[in-house]
Amino acid sequence: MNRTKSRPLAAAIGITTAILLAGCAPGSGQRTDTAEVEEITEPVTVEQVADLGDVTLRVWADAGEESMLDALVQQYEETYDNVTVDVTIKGWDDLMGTVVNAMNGDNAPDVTNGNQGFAIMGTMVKGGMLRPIDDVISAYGIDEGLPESGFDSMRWNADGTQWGSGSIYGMGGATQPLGLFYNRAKLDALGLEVPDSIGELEEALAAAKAGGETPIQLGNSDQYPLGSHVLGILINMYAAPAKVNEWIAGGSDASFDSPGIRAALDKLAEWGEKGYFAPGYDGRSLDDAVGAYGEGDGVFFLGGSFNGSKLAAVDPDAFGYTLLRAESGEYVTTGTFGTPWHISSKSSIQPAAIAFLSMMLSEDFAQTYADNSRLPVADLDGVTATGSMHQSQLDAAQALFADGAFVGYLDWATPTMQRTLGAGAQELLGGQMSVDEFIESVQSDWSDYQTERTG
Amino acid sequence: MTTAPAVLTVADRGARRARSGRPGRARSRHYLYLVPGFALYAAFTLAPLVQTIQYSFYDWDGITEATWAGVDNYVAVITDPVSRSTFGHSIVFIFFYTVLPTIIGLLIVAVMSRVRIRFLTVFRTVLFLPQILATVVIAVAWRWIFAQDGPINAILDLLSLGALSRAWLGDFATALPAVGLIGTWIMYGLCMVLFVGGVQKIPVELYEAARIDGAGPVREFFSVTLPGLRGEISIALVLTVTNALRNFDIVWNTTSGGPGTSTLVPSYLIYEGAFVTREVGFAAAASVVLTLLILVITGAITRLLRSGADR
Repeated sequence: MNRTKSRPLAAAIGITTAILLAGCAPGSGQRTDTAEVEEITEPVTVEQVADLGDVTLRVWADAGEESMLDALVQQYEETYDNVTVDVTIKGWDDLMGTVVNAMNGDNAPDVTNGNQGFAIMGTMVKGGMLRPIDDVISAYGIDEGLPESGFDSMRWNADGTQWGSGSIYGMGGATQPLGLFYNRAKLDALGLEVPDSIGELEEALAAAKAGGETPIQLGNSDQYPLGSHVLGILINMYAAPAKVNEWIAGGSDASFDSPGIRAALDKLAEWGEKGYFAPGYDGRSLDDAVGAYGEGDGVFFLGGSFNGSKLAAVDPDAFGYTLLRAESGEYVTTGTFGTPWHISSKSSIQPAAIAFLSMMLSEDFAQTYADNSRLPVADLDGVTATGSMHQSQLDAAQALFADGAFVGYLDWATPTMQRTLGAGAQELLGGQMSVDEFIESVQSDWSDYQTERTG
Repeated sequence: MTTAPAVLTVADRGARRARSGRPGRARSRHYLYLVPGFALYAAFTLAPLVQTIQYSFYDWDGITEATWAGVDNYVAVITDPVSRSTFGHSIVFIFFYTVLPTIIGLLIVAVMSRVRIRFLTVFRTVLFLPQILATVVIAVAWRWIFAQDGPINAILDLLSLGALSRAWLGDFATALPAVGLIGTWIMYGLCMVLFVGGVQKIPVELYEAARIDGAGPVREFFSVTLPGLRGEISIALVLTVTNALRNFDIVWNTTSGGPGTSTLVPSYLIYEGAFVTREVGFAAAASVVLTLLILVITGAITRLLRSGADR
């Protein structure tokens, strides 16, 4: 009995050893068959797309893009009637877990959503999966009137090890700055003005607490957004944007240990101690928190502008949104041109993909974004708002585009930073970790990755 | 009547021929029947298994060429404090996923074997329900039960124990047992159904004999019911321990491993490593360690209970 049992085991061990000894490393057989990139100098014409014959354009997208895509696909298929668009919608986590492998496969989507930072965009650039789109940007004039710094997170060196300069590999359609939501009725009842700076916000928080309200609504059971967005906003208030961006991009002498970041962490811990965040926030999901805030629980909410469409759906005029002036007096916030869209380097129907992307990013299409209370990059000052909350978001984004400073998302720094920050912030506010330990754990995550990245 | 013996003879002759022929040849022909099944098993289970073992010796982002890492990934799994703590959490989950549900299941069976319960089928179905529900549904429901403004805290407030109320899944002291209790709720139904089925196989005479010998309910349980359920208990332990160790969905949908890393489990690290942070080698090594752990523990359980049965 024992002998027959051990035979398959021995076989398995034998096979394993054989494969291991054969020494063919995973990934060594990979070869990216990139289609010939034909750079364009003029917009793609309907005839050029028609020349492709009857084709299917495959698109992968985040669930947040679904209603925008419904409208876009209809308009696109009417203009280019030889192309059928096949859209695959995925939840954010699912998309992030699968997009790189999908783009690496033989049957890669032609156009897809991705994310900035080393883990997703960096890996795709490194693997040669993305078509550089500098030519598309200039042929269509997509960058006209936009702040140059907004493109930083879309630019990569050719081997995908460093972002900030180089070719542009992606572009977003709707900007998503982090900011401060406020409940208009509650501010009135407390006799408060809309805060415009971090100092004014602190006074308002104290007044809200004294008035028996929940000062800041928060749902952090996913270890998000306390350590990424809330902390990010505070870091924007106290630290120099250039320094933070340098750290996120992996600059050689950058450090997370700076007086500005310390001040932000001290402030976060202080807010926790003073009970400014909704009780039980670590046991409540972000969606539930936005829902509760929409129903009137909480004076303020700190987070991405994209939460605004849910609030506007509850009541387009009950809430407002603003950016905050940092200690330097300028509007500083975390944000970009939005979740990037990419064109696959393997796409055999690149004219169709370019036509799709450029239609999405055109001024003519901007109002469709705005109809969903989003903030289109293309025509921020020309679109009509869905209500006063959306208008306040459009105003804030315009102010940022005009003369504010963009900071990158902290979690772009390393593939593991989201967890390090998210878990660390919970431990900091739970009294399990000091500010020093927090900085040390973040910086050690960062250093480990820089060593790995630069070899 | 004449055909029956003939059939027997043919069968008999066949058996004799198989026995008298060279065993190797007959067996190799029989193995042909296994080929289709084995091919599927090899393609979808064995090959990935071998591949995982291979990956665990490399440093790989899943896309570009991997570099040989030797046993570095295994060293990281064993020495990294966060990774090590996840295995600790799994051991705690064995208490909640295995020990508690087994005890609860046995208690229910002990009561059922003494007391005649009306609507038994209804109760059995209702108690088994958690096994059928999708874990996402269960997680969302329990997230609400454990929430700051959920029913548990409402009851505490009613009892003037409001000081104890908290977000049970968001508190460093209570998150791990709170997640564990969800597992208990899911698993006890399975244990109960296994045990109820097993009890029906125990000969009634044994109970009668025990009662004639003057055994009380406790004595009867330990002398008749418990030994009679040895096989079922073994199955229940293996299933629930496996579930406890590879627990992922409940943690994913309730705490994401938080607060801090207090409810992080190995499967979560494996998923993150393989798909989010692109440390495929580390994730593969952690998978291998987890698989070995499951094999060792479940192997020990079956061996222990089987050797007991032989005695």
